[in-house]
Amino acid sequence: MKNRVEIVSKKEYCTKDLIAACEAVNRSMLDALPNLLPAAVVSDVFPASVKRHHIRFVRTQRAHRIGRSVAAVVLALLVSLSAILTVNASARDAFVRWWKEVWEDRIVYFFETESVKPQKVRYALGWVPERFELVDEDESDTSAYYVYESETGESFVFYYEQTDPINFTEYVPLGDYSHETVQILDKTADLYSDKSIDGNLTVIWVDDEKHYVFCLDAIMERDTLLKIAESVITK
Amino acid sequence: MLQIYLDTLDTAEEKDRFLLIYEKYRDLMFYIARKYLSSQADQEIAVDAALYSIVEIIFKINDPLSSKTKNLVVLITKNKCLNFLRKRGGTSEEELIETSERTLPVPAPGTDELSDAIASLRDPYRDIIFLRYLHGYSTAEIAKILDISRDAAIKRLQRAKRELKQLLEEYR
Repeated sequence: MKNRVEIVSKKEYCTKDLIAACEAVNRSMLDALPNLLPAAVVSDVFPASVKRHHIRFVRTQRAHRIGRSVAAVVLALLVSLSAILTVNASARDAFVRWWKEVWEDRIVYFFETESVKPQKVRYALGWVPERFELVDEDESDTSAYYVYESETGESFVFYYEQTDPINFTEYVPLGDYSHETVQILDKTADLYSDKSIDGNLTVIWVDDEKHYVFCLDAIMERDTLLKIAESVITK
Repeated sequence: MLQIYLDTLDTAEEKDRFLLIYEKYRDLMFYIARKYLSSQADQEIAVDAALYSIVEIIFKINDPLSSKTKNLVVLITKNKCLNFLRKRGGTSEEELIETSERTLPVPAPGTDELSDAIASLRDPYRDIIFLRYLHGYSTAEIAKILDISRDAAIKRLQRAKRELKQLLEEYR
């Protein structure tokens, strides 16, 4: 994790300070738990209400297994494939695939690839409406988010993540939503409109070459949101 | 039931890791579930959901017996219990948070103001700070662990940092 300096109070704390503090609090929390615990009593009957959870879990694991088995094949084939991938763009495209599934309460984006994960890239927004300023940001090894707010309380979030076959990205609407396909420069994107929150739009698109998924979530005019999305640049 | 979880894991290493966690912490998970849920059937559902969450992230758990992993088990089990109560309805969000804070209190370490401030955070904010900084999970991973949307995870983390800042200002 990057050792960024975060101004949490008048004193500046860095990520290392937060980690050390969390470790101290964790020790205190665990010390407060009893040492001796009664043995768990578990019934023999598998609760019927768990079945639905199990079905969703198995679907998740299927996606993970696809990624893992593909990754194993990659190691075996990488040397022989590298020449083909270098000269043949359509062959390269065939080894990177996004697909989405609509589950009962969310839309899940799965990612499958037979190529080595490319170099990590950092992104930023090239254009933000004047009334917004950056109020929070957070970066990890594979993802980052930026929260912008205006004086009138509007806010939007720009999020991106370098994904792989092990993980997946979800869009979770709060209620009824509508969907349309839009263009973000040369990329096809999904634009969701959550009807339970008036004006809430979420646009999701992917970069096949760099294995990134991008998401902009805001309550704002459609054209403004798409203009922000089109301004994404590499740092 | 243990076999159901093991069957969803691919490698022997992951199965061993999960088995260690299951044997070490299953009693603890039921202890926590009993604190929140009165019926045994409800407790089993919540613990089952927590075990599935652990299976999903097993590849990121390096040391099954570390205090970090114990923290994760407590956190996940507690949140599954709260999710269960949430879905069942009849209890406000504020009541759920208060119940959680009474049920599993976190004493302030007394070592420094930052640690004491984190211990004083409201439960949902402290949990997300743990997941982000103690465990190093991304907001997408946090969203999956807590069974919330990624946007909700981002907003909760933002609010947690804001509350932490306010607490630290009060110490001065």
